Amino acid sequence: MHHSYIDKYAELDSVIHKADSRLKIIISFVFILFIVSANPTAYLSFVLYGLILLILLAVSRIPFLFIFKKTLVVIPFVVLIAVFIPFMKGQDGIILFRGIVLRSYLSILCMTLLISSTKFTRLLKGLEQLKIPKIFIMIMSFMYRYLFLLVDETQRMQRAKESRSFKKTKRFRIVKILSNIIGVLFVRSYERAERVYLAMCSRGFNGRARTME
Amino acid sequence: MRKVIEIKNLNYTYPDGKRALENITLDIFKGDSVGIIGPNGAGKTTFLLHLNGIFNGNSSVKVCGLPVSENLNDIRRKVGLVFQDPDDQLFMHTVFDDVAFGPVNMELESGEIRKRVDDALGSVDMGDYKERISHHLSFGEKKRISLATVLSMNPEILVLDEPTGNLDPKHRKDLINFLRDMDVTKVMATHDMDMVLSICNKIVIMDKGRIVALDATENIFRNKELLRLYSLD
Repeated sequence: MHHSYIDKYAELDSVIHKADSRLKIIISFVFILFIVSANPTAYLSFVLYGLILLILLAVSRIPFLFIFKKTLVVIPFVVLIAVFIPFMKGQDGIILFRGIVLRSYLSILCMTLLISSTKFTRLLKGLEQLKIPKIFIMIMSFMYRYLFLLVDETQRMQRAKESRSFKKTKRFRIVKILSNIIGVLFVRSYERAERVYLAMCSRGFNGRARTME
Repeated sequence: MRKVIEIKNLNYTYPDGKRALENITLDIFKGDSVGIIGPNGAGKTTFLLHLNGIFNGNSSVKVCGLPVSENLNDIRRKVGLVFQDPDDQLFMHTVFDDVAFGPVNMELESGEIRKRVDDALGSVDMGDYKERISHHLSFGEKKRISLATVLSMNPEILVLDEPTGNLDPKHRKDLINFLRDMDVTKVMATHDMDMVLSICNKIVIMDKGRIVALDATENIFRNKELLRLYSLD
């Protein structure tokens, strides 16, 4: 099955897409450093950073709505973690809270822009050239390879379930079925991981991640 | 003729206590094509996994005269094992990286690796797929690339688990022709009787972890009673 999630628009042809992936990785990293070290009350700098990202986004021609949706996914986690701060520090806490949410949103926006405008293979190549340990790159590569398989498997199970349900399922039952699906998925992934490891061993893998020089 | 695989009284029990292989004794000679057939759950895959030391049983397997359990690195260069599910076999994100995985682990130099990848992909007619991403390929394409991932290591012995399983008729025929013309020792577990008939010179029938018949292909196919007993006719 064909899906594309994170790098759906990575095939576009803009200045940003064409730029060297190493350059993009370094710039994103530095930019995020700037964002997270900004003073929580320095609203002007937040506006400035946001503006820069929006301009880059416009240049990259990736649909704004696509990026917006991707970035929203992370917000609940941030809010959940930061929501207690105002209760602990009073008036200062609210400013701190606002600062944390703003900074994390801008950082996520920056990362999403990087990932959406770079093909995953080139991103990995770039990280490799930047001397990121090979084991991390391998883990990311596996994640990318098997994420899609996992989604396929979930969809197939969902369909199998639907083709055997005749009337509207009660809400409690849906939760039960869902937890079942998650359990089965976990077991299947575990077994697949085992088989993949055996396939790697069969081709001479002995625990050291190697790449072509 | 030179024995390339020697197995004496191989036993294997799964970690959960289930007996998987019992008293397997089998010699495979250079240039042989051995078809392993038998019902699901007969132990075919478990048996294949012993040929390159993934499973060790009571370690009575020798490949090219070397005990498997003590010479894993050498054995895995000599024995190319292709798994049944191409999604297990193809674990890198691009086709090139996958086919190069074996040669990279063999620490070949990059020019040689590139050449081997080109040759292996060319021989399964997938030369244009180098930069493709594995999860965007069709099942047949993945199956053929799986074979290439092992061919790039130039194995002396090719071990295949259901090579034609789930392939469409055209690609199945291409694969059979390709395997028949290939000049290496082959061991394959399969349900595809036509393929066995056109490629293999020897047949092993397995049932419940045991070898119940072992003979030249024409003798097995002449033995109507045996074929009927295992529903192979």
